[in-house]
Order: sequence, then C-alpha cells, then structure tokens
Amino acid sequence: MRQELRRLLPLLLAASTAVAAPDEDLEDLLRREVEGPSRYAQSLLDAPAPVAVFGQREAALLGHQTVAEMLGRLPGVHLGNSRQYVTVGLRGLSRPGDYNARLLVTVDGFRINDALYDQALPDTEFPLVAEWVKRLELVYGPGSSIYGANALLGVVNLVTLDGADAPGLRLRGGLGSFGTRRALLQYGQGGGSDVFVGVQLLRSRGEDLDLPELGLPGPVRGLDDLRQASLFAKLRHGAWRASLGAVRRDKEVATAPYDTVPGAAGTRFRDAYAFAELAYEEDWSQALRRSLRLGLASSAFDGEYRYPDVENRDTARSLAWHLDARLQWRGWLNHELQLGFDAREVPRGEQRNFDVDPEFVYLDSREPSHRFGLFLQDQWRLSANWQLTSGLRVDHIRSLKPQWSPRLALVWRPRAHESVKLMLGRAFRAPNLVENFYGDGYTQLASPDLKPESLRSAELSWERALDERHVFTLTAYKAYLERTIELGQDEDSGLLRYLNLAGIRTQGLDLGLQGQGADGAQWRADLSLIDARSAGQRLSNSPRWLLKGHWIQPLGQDWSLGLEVQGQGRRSGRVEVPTQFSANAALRWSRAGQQLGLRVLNLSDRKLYDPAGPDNEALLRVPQPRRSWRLDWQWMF
Amino acid sequence: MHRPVRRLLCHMALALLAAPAWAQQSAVELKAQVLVKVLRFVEWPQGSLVEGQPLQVCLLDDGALARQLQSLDGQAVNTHPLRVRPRAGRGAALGGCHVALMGAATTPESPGLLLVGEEAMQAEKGAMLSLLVEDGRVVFDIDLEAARRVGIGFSARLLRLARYVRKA
Repeated sequence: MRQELRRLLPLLLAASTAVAAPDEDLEDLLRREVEGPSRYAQSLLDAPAPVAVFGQREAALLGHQTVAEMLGRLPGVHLGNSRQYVTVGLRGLSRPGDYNARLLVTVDGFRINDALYDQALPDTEFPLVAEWVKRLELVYGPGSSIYGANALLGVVNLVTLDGADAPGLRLRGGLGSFGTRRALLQYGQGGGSDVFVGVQLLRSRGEDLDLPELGLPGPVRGLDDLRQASLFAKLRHGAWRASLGAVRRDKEVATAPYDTVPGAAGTRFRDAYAFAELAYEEDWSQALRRSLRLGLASSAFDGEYRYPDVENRDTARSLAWHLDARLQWRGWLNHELQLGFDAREVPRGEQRNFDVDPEFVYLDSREPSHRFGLFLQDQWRLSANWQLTSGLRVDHIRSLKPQWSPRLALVWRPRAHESVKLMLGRAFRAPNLVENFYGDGYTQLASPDLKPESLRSAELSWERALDERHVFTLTAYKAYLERTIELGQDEDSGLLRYLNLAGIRTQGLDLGLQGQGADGAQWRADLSLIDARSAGQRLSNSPRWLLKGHWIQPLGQDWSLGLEVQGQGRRSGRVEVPTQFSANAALRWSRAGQQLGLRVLNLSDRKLYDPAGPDNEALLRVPQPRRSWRLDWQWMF
Repeated sequence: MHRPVRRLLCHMALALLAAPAWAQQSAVELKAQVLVKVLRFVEWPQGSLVEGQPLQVCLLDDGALARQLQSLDGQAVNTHPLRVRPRAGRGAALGGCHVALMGAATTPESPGLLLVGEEAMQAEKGAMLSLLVEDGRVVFDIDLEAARRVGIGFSARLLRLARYVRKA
C-alpha cells in the first residue's frame, strides 16, 4: 500500500532524466501502474485481507465532498448522523456512544484516531475533504497485528493527492440548500519537490428540524448551523515527506442533548484537530527498506450546554506524539519480513466539566497515556499460487496487561484474476481516556478499571474477475467481540458508567459485483447480510441487511451522470426505525479543468431516521437530512 | 483576452490535464520494457554470449507482447544490441537464440536458452521467467531450477525483485 504513495515521484524523475541507472530502472517499471479495465476494479487480489477501494474519479463523478461520503459507498459500511456528528458503523456494529473508535483511520499511514476518544470522524470533522483523497482503502477484519489498538473491525487508509496528481491552482465554489456555501482552494505542483496544498471553508445554516419529542410548538429553527475550516498540505522530496492537516468545526446542536433547554440557542460543539508528520520512507535498496516517521497531533473539544438557569461546559484537550519505525527485509527468497515499532505518548489528556456562572467544577481530569508496540510480520510466497502471511504484535498500554495480536492469512490464486483468502486474527481496543476518566459524579462515574475489549475473527473471501470488465466478490465472516466497552448503569449508584459488557457475536456475508462499460461507464452493487447478537438477542442499531450501488455514466465528451442508491434493513432502538432507502444524483460538466456540478441528495425527499443514542436522550429517533441540492463550480488557472 | 495569452493558457491547461495520462501504460508495453530490463541481470553460459554480440530474442508466439517486443529491436542490453527475431513458422530453428518468448505450447529446454512465458508459472510448460500482471503492476516469477539446467543464472538482485522464485 505504501508503494502506491511513492509511485509518481520516481516516474517523474524517470521522465526528466532519460538515462537512469539500470537497476533503478527496473524497480521503477515494477512500481508503475498498468492501465486498463482491470484497474477500475481497484482490487487488491494479493493483499492478505479483503480490501475495498474507492478512488478519486468515482468520488468526483458522484459529487462527493467528504471522506464520509466515499467511505459510505463501500460494502458493509453504515453511517449514522446524530445531528451532532456523523458516526461510522461497520458490519452491523455501531454501538451507542461510539462514533468511530473501532475502526482505525490513517492518512498516508498516519493514525488519525485522536488521543482522548480514540476516534476518527470522517465527515466535516475530518481534516481532509474528498477532493484531496486519491484513494480510500478499507481493509476489512482485525488489523491489530500491524496497527495495534483500535484496528478492531478494519483499517481505513487514505492515500492523499500528490501535487503531480492535481497540478495547478484550482478554485471551487459551492452553493446549496439549507444556506450552504463552500469555498475550496487547492494548489499542486509535481517535480523534484512535490507540493500539494488545500484549504476549505464551509458554512451551512442547516435545516429546520421536526423533533416532536421535544414538545415544542413547531419545528426547531436555526439551530443546525455548521461552520468549518480545514487545511491539508504535503511536501515530498525524495524519500522525505512532510504533511500537515487541520480542521475546526463549530456545530449548533438542535436535539437538546443531556437535558439542555429544547429549542434554545446556546448548546453547541466545537471540535478541532491538527496533525503534522515528518516521514522518511525509503524505496527498496538491495534487500532492505526502512522508514521512520515522527508525528504530532492535537485535539480539542468544547461543548457548551444551555440549561434553564446555568450554562455548563465540557472541554477536552489532548496532545500526542507519534513515532513509527519500520524495517522491511527481503533477504530470504520468497519471504518479505516486516519489523515495526511504534509509540504514542500523550503527556496529558485533559477533560473538564464545569458550570460557568456560578462557577462550579464537576470534573477536572488530567491523565497521561502512553503506549508502544512491536510487531513482526512475514509474507511468505509458498508457490506461484499460494501465499501465507503471519504476524504477531505485542502492545503495552498504560497499566494494562500486554496485548497480543496474532494473525494468519492464507491467499490462494487459482488463476490470474481470482483469489481466495482465509484470515484468522485477533485485535483489541484499549479503553480510551474518556471511558476511563470521564465522570462528573452526578450523571456519570469514571471507570478506571476497564479492561480492553478484544475481537477474534475468521474470514473467508473470494474474488474473481468474470471477464475483462466484471468483478465478483463474496466474503463470509464470523467475529466475537469480547468484553465490549459500552455505556451502562452502575449497579450501586444507578449512574451512567462505561462497563465491560457481554460479548457480541457477528456473522455475515458481503456480496459485490462491479463492472465497467466500454464507454467509461462504471457501476458497483453490494449486498451485505448481517447477524449481530449479544447474549442471544439481536443487537440494537444494527441493520440485518445493507444494499448499496452506484452508477457513473459519461454522457458525451463533457457530461457525466452519477447515481447512488442505498438501503438498509430496520434497526431497533428506543423505537424501531423501519427499512429505508435513499438515492443521490450528480450531474457534471467538465472541460479543460473547468467544471460545473449539480448534486441532489435524498432525491425522493424521504423522511429518513437513525435510532437515537445516549447523546440524544430526549429523542426517540433522529431525523436525517431531507432533500437538498448543491451547485459547484471549479476554475482551474 | 489577447488571443496568444488565451492560447497559452489553453495549452497550459491541456498540458496539465495530460500529465496523469503517462502515469499509466498498457500492460503489454510495460511487460516488454520489464523483460528488456530483466535481461540485464541474466547470466548466460560462458561463450554463448560474448561481449558486443547481439542478444537474440526469438518469438515463438505472435501475440501482443511479441509484437510489442519487435518495436524494441536494437535497444542496448548491457553491451549487447537486442535482436528480436519474429516467428518463422512452427518448428523454426532456435539456433542462436538466447531468449525465447513461448506461445501456448510447451517448448523443450535447450542449453543457454531462456524460456519466457506470460502465465503464472507452470513448471510443465517450462517457462523460466514468467511475466504477469498482479494488482495493476507487472511482476515476474523465476524458475531457478529450470534455468540452472540450461546453464542460465540470475543476479541475486534480480531474484529479490521477483514475486516468486521457484527453487529445487
């Protein structure tokens, strides 16, 4: 996967220098991508896990603007919208209070999950927008044997654009329903020093929301406002790379969480996240390849809660240092060994809760957190058709017992365009600082003695190209999540508290078909069947099936039409949310870098809902966005 | 806007748009290039390829890769000019050939002749070097044992770049 990142630079160098050293030449050729229909399938048949990939072209033609929209197209993913945040569920697991802590998200390999909640939210809370992502790769199944904590259900890696991928200066503007305005500026320059910079400003007045549970006379107006700014910059020179990403988002909250005053302004969330990384990533030289990365990430949350007689605040701050060192070695024929060490040091994770006037402090927690892990992986090609990957990682986290994450993957390639994979593995998630230490003593207690939750899984996948233009995939999986950390009720006090609850068993099937037409048309359809249970009972907020598809149709030289459809089965919660379907459409005109796009979301204007979680106690269900349109244009200079 | 300025901007835009196009090449083009580069790391038996002597690639196939290779005739491989000999009919003599691009049929081994195939290595067909496309990139497998039998060796560096090396 990492090789992908480095593909273009040597290419550019090769183009500018006609005669290169002969051995370098061959290595460059082997890195080059082949064009043709098989590429559109974007499959990774040889990878030791099922991988789904979503690329820039599809995202652009479907009119995507957020990473969440890209992620949402992939099989097994079910996003939720609490009107506070967009949450990520995968294969039926979307637990109350967990926005996305069970999926690891990386940007060019850098861990984005923050140091307090261990989560990475992919919508407007994310430092990157869809336009800056070259490809999104979702690796299904436990990934802890390489990545350590949080790589429980899968790993999402975002490969960002290089300057050479999107050269020149581009300015995009957008207007849409609900008073949405968006401006985006990006600049790319290829060459010896590759530069990419992008900035986005987003503003939306938001919707008027029908929330009958709040007992207000009419819809809640003017409380869905969103303001966001994000930045991403990357400089690449030879084996060196420096990246910087930042986002700040202000969201008014209309759903009256935590008993705040319904329909009144003043309950709002501000989230900020920033990261910087300096990386040295070598290409193969002789039998060895080395990489060293040093990163810094900060996160901040400010919640303001409006109560009848007082204003309450939540603040959370964290700063984390990241170190990642890897050695890859090909000294033994047919083996590729990888040895890695990484560490995350959080000098202080701060959580405070207090009333403003009169001032009263309920919570003032300043806890450090440190973790490091060591892993070894061997990718062994047993024959031309068989490959065995085995790996083991041990993690030391704060005062917890060492966590061992083994993994075994067998890949069989009966023919060039077919692969069968069997994976067995274990992954874990350590309790985060919020689960451990958030407690105000009135509504919620801290829970410092939580144990890590762990997942064991077995997965079998089959992928086959039916012909030059059609690819079929089938994956069956079974997993057991042990000691699930969830918000529960403390037996003695009756207050809320994070607890290690009963295990969750999931099993399911993902069935996918994708194709490409001779005219550049492209489509994909995925059906997921999911059975998730805890103590024999079906899990809440877990659809039994997901159906999604998209179709991109070029219309002549300059025009294209993109359609997306998704449906999911009924989900239980405080009330049952029935089966629902929705569709989006995007029409685009593009010529010589100038673009015009019209996108309509929730085409048929259906009333869609998500089950309400503990953050929306006052509601039975959360209304999802109604029909909206957006108009975007781009100038390229 | 002045016309020349406009034209210039237009050209710039087109050049920028065109840029990613050469990031990808057809599999056949790339395979042919990889083959020629791989040949630099192949060691033929002593005396069968002396300095300056043309390196002869004989085509037993007339598929896309064979046609592509013909366009590379004359390229230098270390000190040797590449000679690509088109298919001269079934059973044509392989005398003087250093490399043979196999067709669908099994080709018998002959001393100092490197058999190159395009399918995942199948020992029975005899390919010593197989060029494949894997996850969008060109890769190659090497059958070390078969190559040794005909006196052909590979540099250690090349073996490390191989996807799979079949040993005895």
